[in-house]
Amino acid sequence: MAIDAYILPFPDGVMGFVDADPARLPVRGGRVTLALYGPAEATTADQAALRSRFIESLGSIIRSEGGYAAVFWPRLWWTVGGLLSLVFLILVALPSGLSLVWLTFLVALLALPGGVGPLVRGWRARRLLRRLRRLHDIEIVPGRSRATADRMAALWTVAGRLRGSALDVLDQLESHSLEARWSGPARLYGHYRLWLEQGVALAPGLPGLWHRWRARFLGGAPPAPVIAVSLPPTDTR
Amino acid sequence: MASIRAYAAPLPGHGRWAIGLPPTTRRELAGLAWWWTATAAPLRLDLYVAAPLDDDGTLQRAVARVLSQAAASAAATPTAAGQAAGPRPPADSAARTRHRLLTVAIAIWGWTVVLGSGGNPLATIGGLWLAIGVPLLRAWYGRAQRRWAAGLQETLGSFVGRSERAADLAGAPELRQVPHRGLADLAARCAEADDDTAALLALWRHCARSDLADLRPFYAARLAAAQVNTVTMPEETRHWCEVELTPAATATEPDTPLSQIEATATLPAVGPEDDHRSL
Repeated sequence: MAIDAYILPFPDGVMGFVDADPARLPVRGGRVTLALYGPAEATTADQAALRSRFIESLGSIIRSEGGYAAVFWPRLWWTVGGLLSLVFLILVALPSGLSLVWLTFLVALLALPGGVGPLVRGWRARRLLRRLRRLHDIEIVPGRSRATADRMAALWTVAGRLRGSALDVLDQLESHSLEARWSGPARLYGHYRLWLEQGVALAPGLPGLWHRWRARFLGGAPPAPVIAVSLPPTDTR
Repeated sequence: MASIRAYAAPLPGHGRWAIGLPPTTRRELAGLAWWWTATAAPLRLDLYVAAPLDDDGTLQRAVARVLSQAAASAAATPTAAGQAAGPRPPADSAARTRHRLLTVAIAIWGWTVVLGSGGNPLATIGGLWLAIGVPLLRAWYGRAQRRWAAGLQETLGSFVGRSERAADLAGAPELRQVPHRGLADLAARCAEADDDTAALLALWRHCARSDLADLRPFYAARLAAAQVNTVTMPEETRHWCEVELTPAATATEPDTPLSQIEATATLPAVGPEDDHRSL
């Protein structure tokens, strides 16, 4: 199964975009296949750039997430043991009055590692590293979906007509992607628009209601990272 | 196949090139080294060139040298080696002292609970967890963090070793020269300039407008060094290696990258017969 990769128009050039969660990369026979869609046939240099920058993105994810995978088991036992001890101690303290229950609760809480988020992140990172251990090659093939090629052509047509500030261009590209019901590019444009508007740090993941909710209640587990790679800027625009 | 990109950046003077890894590649070298070591996949170096160069092993050695230098530099940088990645250990001695004091206070509370449990199994288990379990788990956690950072440094070390072996061309990674239109333009602009400083200025300016933003810090550093006539070269230039090579006699026309494609409304229509074509 191939993952869709796009060469998308961007205010200051073009952006390579691989719409995939690295923790769910479909590795078949040690290989991941990227089905590439763009405004024209990609040259060897473009394919090499996309491949090497995709690999760099994976390297960046390994560096940032590997630490969570490394401490997954100690953190899991620490959390499980801590929660059990909290329950036990509260059960023991209950007959002695509410003040002792509160004190016990506070101490047992202090003995827990902070938040479940890093645990979830560690679980995802372990899965990611397992997959990457099996990944030996990244193949880039021309995408074959007629519908996606049509959407890509329409997006580049719109991009060719756009003028104005980077923010306006991103906004219009996002609107067009949403109208075309093309969620991946819409999220990418939305992410960079937010970044320009609010100075939101470029996290590996993209914002969204579900992701924000999950980050809040699970203590910062990262959303599915979408790998964006910047490619040669279009200096002829 | 893992591929790492490198550039042969044109320099003033006929046939002079600077071989180097872009800053983004250098930054992610720790993660790449981990992946490369874990999969034992063959490594390929995609060297972007203005035109294919006549290589007698000089290029291979130059790329191996810059790879080795970059890996050694990354191994010496805590952030690059992953020490700051993942859940962070206490950064300074005050934070470490606070952590230790908290652990000791929790352990004292745990022993107090055990001693005052009066044989209650729940209180004994809960107390022992606080007194013994938590300190042990904290120690295990710290060890796991340190092991990950050390492992990354070790993979970077092996990366250095393999790169150095590659410099002797024994078991060298595959080197592929990828012709690049932007670099060809740069080389042409460089040749047009009157003197070295003007050439570097033209190269630096043109980088901002092409696919070669990664080369900008390098040219900025070279330009600064040329303008102030300093003896000590700026830090960025140390990651690059200068070679003198002439283009191969059978130089082919570089591919036209997407950077040269105008985003117009007249895109090639994708018809049924072109269904196999993706772009």
